[in-house]
Amino acid sequence: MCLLALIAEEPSYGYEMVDKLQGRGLALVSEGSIYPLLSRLQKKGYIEGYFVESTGGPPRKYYRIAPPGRVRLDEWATEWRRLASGVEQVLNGGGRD
Amino acid sequence: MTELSVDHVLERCERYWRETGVRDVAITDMRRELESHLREAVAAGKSPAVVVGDDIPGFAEAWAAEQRGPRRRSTWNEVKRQSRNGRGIGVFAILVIAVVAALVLVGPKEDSVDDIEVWRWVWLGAAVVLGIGEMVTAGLFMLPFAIGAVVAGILAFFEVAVWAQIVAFLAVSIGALWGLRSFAWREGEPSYPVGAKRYVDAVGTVIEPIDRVAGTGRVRVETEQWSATTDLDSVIEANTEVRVIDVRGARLVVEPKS
Repeated sequence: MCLLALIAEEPSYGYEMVDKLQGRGLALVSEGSIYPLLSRLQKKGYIEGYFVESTGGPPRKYYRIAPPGRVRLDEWATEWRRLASGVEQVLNGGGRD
Repeated sequence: MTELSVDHVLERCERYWRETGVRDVAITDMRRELESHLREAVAAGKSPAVVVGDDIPGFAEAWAAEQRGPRRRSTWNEVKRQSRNGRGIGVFAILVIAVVAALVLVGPKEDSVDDIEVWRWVWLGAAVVLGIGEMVTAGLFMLPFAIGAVVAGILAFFEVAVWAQIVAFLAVSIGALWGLRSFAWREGEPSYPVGAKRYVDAVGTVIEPIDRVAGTGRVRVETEQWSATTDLDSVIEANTEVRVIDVRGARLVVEPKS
């Protein structure tokens, strides 16, 4: 879901996504696990990949979000907010009974 | 963590992908993407080992599994493991021979010659029946007992005590049953090329242009004509030589042979 949200912000490539996720506190995202996830999202039709020539090295594979991906991201975001709000309520009222 | 070069990681991943049946198109794509990532990491001061971790085959498999589903071909590591299984069977056989030799040379002897005669025929009969049974059934269930009966028969031939024959039969049968079944289990299910699957890796000729988007295309493979599709975005023209890489529904999935 986080990957899809990042790609929805703007087209991005693997290395940059790892940097962005780690920069936002998701240090658990390993560089080795991001490509299988990207492949899975691409196979499901949520994102599209395309190569862009890079000045400083080999071409980079960028990913952009596809329409089914936007729909899925909205669903995930709704589910997540509902879950997070439930957890928040439990934590705030926890240990009082 | 071992120090690895970018080229070494790329070469190991590519070899793993090839060995495990990932399609050429996907390998090219993955390699380019991985190379770009590794070079960028190195430029930022990270080593390739930090990116892929210690388990390169694990890293390569996680990525490849998304491209081609579960593994279909053995890797050289599996071949090594299978040869270890083979060595295990060899060790077991040597152990059995050593025990049989010890029993024959210094084991307890049977006093009753009549009993020995009967038991020789019992073991011989059992070995033949179980051996035939193994040939007409599947599952490697009777073969271990046939081996046990043969060993016990050898002991009977050398007039070793009947109780020792029976113990040897049980021990060898159980040992062989465990060894052979775990060996067969680890060998994995063979993927018999049946139905349209038999055409995977076969080469054919396009007889009607293959257009993935339009959903059209036919190929001739050997003497048969099949509907075909491709994962490529471009159209594959008629008379192009193609290789079958998969079967999807009733269509062969192909890519240009070159």
